[in-house]
Amino acid sequence: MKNRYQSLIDIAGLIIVGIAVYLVGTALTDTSVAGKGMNSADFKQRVSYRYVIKSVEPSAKMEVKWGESGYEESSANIVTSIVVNYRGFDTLGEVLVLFASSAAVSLLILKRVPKKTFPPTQIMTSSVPLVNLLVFILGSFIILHGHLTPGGGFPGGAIIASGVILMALVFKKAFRPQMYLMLESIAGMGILIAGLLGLMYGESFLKDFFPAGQIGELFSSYFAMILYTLIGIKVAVEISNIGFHFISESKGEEAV
Amino acid sequence: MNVLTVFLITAGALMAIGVFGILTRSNIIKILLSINILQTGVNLLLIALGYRDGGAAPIITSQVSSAVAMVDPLPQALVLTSIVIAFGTTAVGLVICLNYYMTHKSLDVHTFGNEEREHQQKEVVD
Repeated sequence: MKNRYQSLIDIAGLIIVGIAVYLVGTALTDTSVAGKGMNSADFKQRVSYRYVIKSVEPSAKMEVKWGESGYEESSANIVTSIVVNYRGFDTLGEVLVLFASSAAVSLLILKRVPKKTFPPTQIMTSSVPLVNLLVFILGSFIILHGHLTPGGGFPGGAIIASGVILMALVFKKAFRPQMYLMLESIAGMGILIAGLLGLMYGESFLKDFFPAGQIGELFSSYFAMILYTLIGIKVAVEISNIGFHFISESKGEEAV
Repeated sequence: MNVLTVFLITAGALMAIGVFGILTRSNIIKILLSINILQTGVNLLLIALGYRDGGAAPIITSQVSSAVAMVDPLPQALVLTSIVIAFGTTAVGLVICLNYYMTHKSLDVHTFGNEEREHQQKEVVD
């Protein structure tokens, strides 16, 4: 349905966006207001500097080196140490948001009349097991090395979920949402239990209560590893659950 | 022109494209795509705010210790959260698009609110 006034709407949109770009641009590049403009704060004045040197007091131990131990937290990847340790509560909320969206998808999706579907071809059935082997290995690697290399539970879980969805598209037997949902509940309970254990053995909820190891070792940051594994399982199950709902919608099957 | 300026201009362009799409398109799938482009622009802006000239990636390796200049790791951790939430909202939005299409047989936003008129027309035709 073509709208008669589409060109007028486009011009009005361009004008509004132009005004917004001008205002934001002048606000960001204005050097007279704060004196220096954006992105000017000294790095040592920022909160992030405390995360980098792994200590609240800037004077404590200034340099965090590869292969040394004795810091309050021992993951080499500082983003992981922020996500899992310093802001673990934030990550718990993030996982809850993902769970809520997965639940909303299963609540809102409507059952449609089954359409004619085509069986998977020979190429799919013979190549998917091989591809999935590599996908699962890559996903587990990214999850378990979350405290050493870029990555972690969220990207690794998404990679594993892509493999699960591929498998569910080809093999009917892999389409078992009940089993995956049980795995998800166990992982969610595991995150809460890890947090409560932190309350028991440490000072606060989700506190890293394991002894800090050498920075850079595979088995150095146990808490980050365990929590990222649980988060990876949970994310993988939730994303593949969303995928299952879309697949079952097009097949007209009962999902859960 | 340094790297920060390139980041900021790209982020601004993505955000402008997203806002323009949300304001002018009438197809709800295109609106959802525009929201995603806007989110990408916001994520890039957040990452760019933590950029430092010549900064290393915030990972301690055998060459990089905390004394070396690093980019700000905090916006990167926040953007990780932002990406996951963007995924969740996109999934819910797609389901809503699907339901909209199944009730209205159209993806155009202007068909919303015309149900009664269409219904009456159908009754007249029947």
